[in-house]
Amino acid sequence: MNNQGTMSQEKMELDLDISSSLVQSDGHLRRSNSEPMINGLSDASQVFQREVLRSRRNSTTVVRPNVVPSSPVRVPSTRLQRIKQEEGVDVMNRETAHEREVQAAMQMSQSWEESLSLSDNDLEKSSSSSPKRIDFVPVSPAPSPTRGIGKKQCFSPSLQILVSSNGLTPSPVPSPTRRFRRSQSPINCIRPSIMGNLKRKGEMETESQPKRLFQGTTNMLSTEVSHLPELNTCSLSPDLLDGSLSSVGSSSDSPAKMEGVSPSSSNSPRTPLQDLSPK
Amino acid sequence: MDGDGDGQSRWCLSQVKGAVDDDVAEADIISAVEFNHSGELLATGDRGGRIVIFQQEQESKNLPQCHAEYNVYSTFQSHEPEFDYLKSLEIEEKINKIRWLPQKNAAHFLLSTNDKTIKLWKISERDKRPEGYNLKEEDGRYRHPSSLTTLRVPVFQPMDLMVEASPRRVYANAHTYHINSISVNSDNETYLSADDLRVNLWHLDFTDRSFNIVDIKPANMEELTEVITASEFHPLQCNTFVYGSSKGSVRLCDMRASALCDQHSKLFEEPEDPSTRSFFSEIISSISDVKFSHSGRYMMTRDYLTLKIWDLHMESRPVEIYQVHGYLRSKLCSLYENDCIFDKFECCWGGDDSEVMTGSYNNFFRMFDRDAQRDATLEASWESGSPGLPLKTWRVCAGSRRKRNEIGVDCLDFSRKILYTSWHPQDNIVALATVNNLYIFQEKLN
Repeated sequence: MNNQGTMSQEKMELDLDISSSLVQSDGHLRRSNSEPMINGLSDASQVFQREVLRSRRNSTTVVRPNVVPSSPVRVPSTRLQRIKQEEGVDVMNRETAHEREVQAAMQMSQSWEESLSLSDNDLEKSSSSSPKRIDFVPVSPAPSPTRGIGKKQCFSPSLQILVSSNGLTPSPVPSPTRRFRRSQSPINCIRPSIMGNLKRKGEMETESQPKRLFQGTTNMLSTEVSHLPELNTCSLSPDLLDGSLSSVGSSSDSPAKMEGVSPSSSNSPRTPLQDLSPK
Repeated sequence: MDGDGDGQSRWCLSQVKGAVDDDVAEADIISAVEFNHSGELLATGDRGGRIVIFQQEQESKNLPQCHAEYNVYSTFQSHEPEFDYLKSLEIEEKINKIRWLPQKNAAHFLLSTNDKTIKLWKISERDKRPEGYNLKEEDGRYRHPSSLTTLRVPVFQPMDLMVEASPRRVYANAHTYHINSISVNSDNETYLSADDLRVNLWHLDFTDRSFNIVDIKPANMEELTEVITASEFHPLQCNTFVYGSSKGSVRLCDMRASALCDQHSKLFEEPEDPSTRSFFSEIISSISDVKFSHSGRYMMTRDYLTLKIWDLHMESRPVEIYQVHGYLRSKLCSLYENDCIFDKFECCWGGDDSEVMTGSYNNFFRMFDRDAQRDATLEASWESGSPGLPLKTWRVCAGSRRKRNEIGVDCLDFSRKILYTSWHPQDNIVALATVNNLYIFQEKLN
């Protein structure tokens, strides 16, 4: 996938009506956000630090939180200031700068992982830069206006579960007396834990499970998987779907290999290497 | 007018929905709450793009003390996360607004929107299904051809009630910026959607076109001074709508005047008091919500510290101003530091327009009785008494607390805020969202 690299060099016809987005300079790939940002989230969210961002879903493009930010101070700004800032600059320069920031963030994350891992397969690491781009590969195609039309989602109020559209309930049927609890909503399709078994869209379609839960998610994953056939499937599923890791394959490295590259001050005694282990 | 109540209010906790543990998944954070036009259904949207619809139980007339309970009626995934790979940006699936259409037949329709896409959902019931197919068993397996000896006609058999949600329309690709409001017109054919700089008019039946009716984007972006923050159609006049701005002004537009309503018909703006001007004046004057009264005569605006009621016939100043949490005026600097100053609170009218309410911090919400000119501060907490008991009112004091119902301003928890609220269209039932819980309060009837 060379999208990121070549986009900055191509001359693009850009509509001057540019989306209200801003890549924060702390290395995170920002979500397109109209609201003034609070640590990457908006509205009622300054309680929820980056840990919560991580647990969100597999498609999040959050780079690992302990990437060293280039600008540690976050300046609160109003919506107005952000729109002006984005649109005041020359369009081409802004797009180029944006792509450079994205590239830098990826490389920063990649080099961080490389420096932490003293394994023998450094060559593999550098050649495995493409897996790191998975975070930035579009996880779903451009939204088609017809997508989702006609796909019913059916719910049974008496059983408080989702059912298939022909009225049959999936097995096993949970207790109908279970009180509705939002965090255990039957629609868990974005939860990473559910993803563990999903491999390919083809497999999903032949399963007897009701289609309700996995419509969009299946599409997302199928795009990923089909675009990167050369990757080891094992390394794809748990790490990638966790959403918290931006590198593939390095999470199995033992903490001991990170000795000597601690970013913290050398004044304080640094015995617990477990502090630095990637999560 | 920051008086305290007499210790007890008329309101009592009816239900709490959602998990009670402290570990909240971000996808569960509620981001929209809306009653339908009859009050029978209550829809909530969350950051995970899901919508949950609650239905009021019908067999409640024999319980005079309280209105009926709301139970889960339907739940579905409305929006999914998308990725704009042209700009390397993620489009969040968080539901920004839900608006119901007036009911025309047995099915219910609602509009839900995230930052970029609006969808029309049809929610319908099914309680019968055909049984007795010739070629398939009941579980879908095909019957062996040799077992087919007779022909039969499938018949409809009753089944457990099933609620289907199906997307009927997807209105996409009309907004460059993030959609902050949608509003269904009283003509029940059109609706508007507003983003930071533009307001678009849609016909419900057509997804491939929308008319731009307000465009405040200047030719030179350096001249941009304000953005659109909220917009709503008049409840009775199908040609009238308003939009609020980040500078604290509300513009009323008449679509009969011209196709492009950049020129407002009325401008509602309170002249600023120069003595209170500060660095934060403009930020706290930003309109976070604008709502017409049910009568259509008045309009309510919410800015960071106050609620203002405007008479549509008078543009110069509001007719009523209510302080929501005036004690925060001296704390604006720290609220700017932690970004709370940018929180967008909603507000809502009571069914007969005599009361209004809005949310605040520390899971407090504020009730204002316009007729009696009284207000109350109530807390949404599942510890606040058992259902049926009247809530106690709170008072926030500047120093340390002296009485039981008091809390010091420095003890407020600014992470617990009530941004999203909705009031039943006829009865005194309010639904509001804390971070991940839905609270339903109702007035004591006896």
